[in-house]
Amino acid sequence: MNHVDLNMFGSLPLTLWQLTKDRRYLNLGLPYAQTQWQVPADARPEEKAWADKGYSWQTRLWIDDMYMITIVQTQAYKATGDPVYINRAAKEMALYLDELQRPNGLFYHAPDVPFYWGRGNGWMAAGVTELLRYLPPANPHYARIMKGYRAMMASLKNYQQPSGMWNQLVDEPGCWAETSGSAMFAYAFITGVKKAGWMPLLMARLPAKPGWPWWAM
Amino acid sequence: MYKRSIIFLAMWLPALLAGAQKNVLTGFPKGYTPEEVGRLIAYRMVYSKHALHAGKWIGYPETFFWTGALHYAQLTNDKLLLGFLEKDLSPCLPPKRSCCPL
Repeated sequence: MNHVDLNMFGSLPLTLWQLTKDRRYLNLGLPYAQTQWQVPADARPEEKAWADKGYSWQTRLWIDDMYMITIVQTQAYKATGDPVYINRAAKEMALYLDELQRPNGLFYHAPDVPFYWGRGNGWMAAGVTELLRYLPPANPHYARIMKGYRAMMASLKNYQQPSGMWNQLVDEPGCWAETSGSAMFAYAFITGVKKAGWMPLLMARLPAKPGWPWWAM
Repeated sequence: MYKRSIIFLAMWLPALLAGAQKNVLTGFPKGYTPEEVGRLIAYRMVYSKHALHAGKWIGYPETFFWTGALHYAQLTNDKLLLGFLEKDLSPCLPPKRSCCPL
């Protein structure tokens, strides 16, 4: 369990534990959340440096992480009730927002990959939504994360295509429409509309032709 | 009095608009309801093969797909689907622990 892409697996048994209350799934899932914050002896210096500041040693500032890391930590919080997990996820999310969110509210794939990749922005949109659903508003990072969510949603409305979808590169009109990013954006919008107080009144209008075919009817 | 009515109306406006917004999320045409679309997607977990990462581990696309199917089973109270999804994960449990990332 030494990589974001492996640790995220824990979110599945942790979800199953909540549905079945079979302890074997809790025991299977929890180590994936725990080892994300336990620096291995052979970790590289930069990994240790992230851990010393209270972040996951697996931090790499790729937007994908903001689903992969938050989903397993949030599920560990839901499964155990221990706030340590969701507090970590919130601290990590606040860092990523500060480092990666651009003035237009969207996200580059990584600092050295300056493109608004649709699926990657979808990870971010779904990850921040999933985190805000369960993060107690008293958390010191709550306001920062909500601000990041609102900025992203306000921007995404402007890039929605006439078909109701978003493109492979969000800001490139010549790119093809991409389903996975569009679905994750739709999830983020729908959740925000259903949650009182997530969107200021003027923003709480759904995009004219939101992301799914049934909205185009 | 007049002023008070305006204020009273203004107080209700956000709630009224919020209500109108939520209506967009109901009354779908047949074949497009979240239940129908969700079922088509969730049941793919039953009959599609595992897409193992590097041929040995349950990777992130399948993890999140599986979790989505679990949510669908829970929300629609589909015990048959939930049972299948759970049974399918059992090889991951000790002592076999096959297919789960180490």
